[in-house]
Amino acid sequence: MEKGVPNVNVEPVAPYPAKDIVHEVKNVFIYIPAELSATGFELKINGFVRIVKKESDNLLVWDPLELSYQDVACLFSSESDGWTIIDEPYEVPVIVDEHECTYPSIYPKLDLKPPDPILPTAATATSPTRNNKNGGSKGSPSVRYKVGNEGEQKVGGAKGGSSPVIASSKTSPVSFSLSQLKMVRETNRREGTRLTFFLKDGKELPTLSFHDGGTAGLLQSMQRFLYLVRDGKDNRIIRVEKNPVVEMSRKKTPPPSGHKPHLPYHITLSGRGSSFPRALVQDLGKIVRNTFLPPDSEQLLERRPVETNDEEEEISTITCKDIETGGNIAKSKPDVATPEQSLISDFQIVTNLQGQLPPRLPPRPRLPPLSREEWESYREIDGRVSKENEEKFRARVFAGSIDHSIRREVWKYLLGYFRFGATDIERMEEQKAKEREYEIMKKQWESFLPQQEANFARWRELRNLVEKDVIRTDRDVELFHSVSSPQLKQLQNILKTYIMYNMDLGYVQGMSDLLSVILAIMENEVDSFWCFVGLMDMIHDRFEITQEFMRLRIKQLRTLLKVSDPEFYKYLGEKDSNNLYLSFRWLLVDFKREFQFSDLMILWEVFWTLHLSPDYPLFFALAIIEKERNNMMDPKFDFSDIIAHINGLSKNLQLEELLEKAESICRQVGAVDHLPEELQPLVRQPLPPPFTFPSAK
Amino acid sequence: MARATDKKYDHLFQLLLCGDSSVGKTCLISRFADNEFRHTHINTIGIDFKLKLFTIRDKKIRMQIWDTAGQERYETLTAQYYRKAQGIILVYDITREETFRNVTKWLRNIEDHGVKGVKIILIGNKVDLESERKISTRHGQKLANQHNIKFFETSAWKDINVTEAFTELAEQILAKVESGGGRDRGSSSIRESAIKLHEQQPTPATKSHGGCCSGGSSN
Repeated sequence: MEKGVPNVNVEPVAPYPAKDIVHEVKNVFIYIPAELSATGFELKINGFVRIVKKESDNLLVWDPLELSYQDVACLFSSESDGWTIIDEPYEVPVIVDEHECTYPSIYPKLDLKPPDPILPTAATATSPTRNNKNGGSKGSPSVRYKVGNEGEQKVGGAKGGSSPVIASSKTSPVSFSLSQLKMVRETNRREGTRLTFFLKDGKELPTLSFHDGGTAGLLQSMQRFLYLVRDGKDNRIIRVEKNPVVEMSRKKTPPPSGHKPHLPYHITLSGRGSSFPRALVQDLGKIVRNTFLPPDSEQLLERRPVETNDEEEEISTITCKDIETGGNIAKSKPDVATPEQSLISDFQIVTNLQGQLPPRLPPRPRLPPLSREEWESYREIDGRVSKENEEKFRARVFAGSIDHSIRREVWKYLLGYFRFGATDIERMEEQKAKEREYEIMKKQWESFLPQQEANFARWRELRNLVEKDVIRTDRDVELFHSVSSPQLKQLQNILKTYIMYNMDLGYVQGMSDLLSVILAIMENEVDSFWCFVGLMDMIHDRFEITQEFMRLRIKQLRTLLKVSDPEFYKYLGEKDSNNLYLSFRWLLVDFKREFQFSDLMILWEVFWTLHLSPDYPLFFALAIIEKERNNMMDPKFDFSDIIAHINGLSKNLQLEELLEKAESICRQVGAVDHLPEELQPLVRQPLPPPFTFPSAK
Repeated sequence: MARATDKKYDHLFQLLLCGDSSVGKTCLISRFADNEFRHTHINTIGIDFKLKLFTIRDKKIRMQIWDTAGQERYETLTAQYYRKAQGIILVYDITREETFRNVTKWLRNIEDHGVKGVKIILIGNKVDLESERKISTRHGQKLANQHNIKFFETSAWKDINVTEAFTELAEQILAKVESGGGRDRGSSSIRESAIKLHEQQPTPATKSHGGCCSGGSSN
């Protein structure tokens, strides 16, 4: 793949009116690698990335924000790159100061008059085209990093008669046509995510670095024009693929009315396996369709149905990487199904799902934490939170967690200690009652006589365990560091009281790990106890004596992995590791041992919202596995190495990135219509839409 | 991060530690594998794991050491690992009677879930707390004799007898493997053998004498 600044065309980019900007991200730096820069060292230049909608073509444009004369000279003086020196100072195109905003949601509010037609391109003061050494021979007109220098229009404010034309003045936009995009590589660096664009003719464009984030939003916007699919093997790669549905519908003429629309998958099956029972084929086709195609494809198909005949040769053009799998399923079908069977067992559905989930949306960037103002806005004047607002609140916390300053209050709701539906007055009364109840239960064990204790083996056993575990809980955290710290005593008191509250469950190892974080927030014994009770109400299953539930969860995680990453699943199987017991600790105490307190709080809040899934930790576990799979598979790790690697991840994980990934995975799975029965309880279907801030009035 | 492919070894042994909660299983492993002792302990959730490479009689042994949670609750999980272990170290705390009483219960577990002929040693830990001792050495030895297993009294804190205990167990397994009577994962598996052939990197273990604990941990 060729690298560099290829085939630069010095004809300026036509300025584009503000209304054509579909998306903008600021603080995006362009990187000119040392070997390509005239100075011999790497160059970084700040700018905007915008997606600009054109009638026939959509552009991705990078507009420099600040270029010193020196920079420009460095950038453009190189003999080989064909860039031109622009010897005037640059002016910054002022648009909006939002961190990232999607147009046109903002622009219409500016009450713009209809935009002027795009200005004709003015001749530049620069030299005519100099072909890039590399690019020239390839003759790729599509790669057009254009240097413009023209006109005097700049972003007009909203008011005044001048039309809001961006980027025309003294700026130097760089652009390429989205239709020429082949793939994007996404890499995470400390200073921000980087995107590198590869075009269809093999060119690699200079990397753009998003210092304030915004790549997910950008990719999502691009998704409007392109069918982006993240590579199953290397998830840093996002490919542009043909939309199978659009491809199909484009080629076909409408069939006679009453003709049932068919999918290529039907055709594959019926075409090759003529001996298949029709019903079976239809069922299978439906499942494949439901699982593979994006949610809106159904409607697309209905609008533009396609014919079934003469499809054979087209199957190969359909962007369905796994169509071969479909073929395999087809071939294996007669072995497992009798001609009369039309129902397909879960096992077969899982087989169908393997690697064929609907395309994954790029990760959504996390929102800032829920602020006090926002929290207050969910509460009525009397303190109640309506059912509707509770739902919004959960979605909001899921998307950004909670500001630390209000955690103590908000956790009480999330953990069920405070009722959303209670007024302030009711809640105060309920809280008082809870305090009394706690004191009663605590008194019970405090007042055991020695002889009673001597005759109460279960109590003695659990009490000893609590005492042994509390002095081994989070001692490296300052709050619990000193042997004489009151917090250690409080942990003991709460856990012993919980034994009295729920003697059946009692104390189980792992509980102290969960409680310590709650106590760190509440700094109060009674509140911590009741929050802990609420937490246990949510997750007590995993501590039950039979351990059935933990086994089930690990099995579900296994199925999820099998469906989402069959390749790695197979690898783990070869390494005797696909039982996924390595995830036991993660799943028992919600990754407590894998993160610092500050991260855990964010993570657990997301879990506790139960927003997308009642067992969201499974998706989070999947995100970690997906993130690390190459690190384990590439060096061909064996069983021991895999476990050592997983253990070594503790406190070395990037929370935000994993949360974004987990949401993507969960939404991807949730978009499947016919989930295997085993997975059905794991996602809310239909999935609630992603949280968005209500637009300002 | 550990990488098998960087290491050379002749055998892969899988060991497991069991015993009541808080008898010092994790500390014994830390002492043996990393030669460290932390005063801020942390309880084991479910099952944990460490790797240790060391040498006995010029044989490089890669040890997978499984650490288990003491609470009965997690037995269903840990039982899975009994089946894989070639050697088991059963630990009690010399300062707590009930942990000693439970040794027979743990032995029953091993019998139920372990492979036939699995090598077992018994450890009475925390001899540094001599003043709090509840179980005499004689008692421990007697119980071990009854079950025909080796017995050690150790201190993970003061580093007393820890290496000796692990070495004894490894010796027993090695003897069994070399006599052809045991499953040696290091040579029975094609994968592992392939690794063996390609690995040349010397480890600190090769410099040590007597095959004790100075081997490089791969954790």
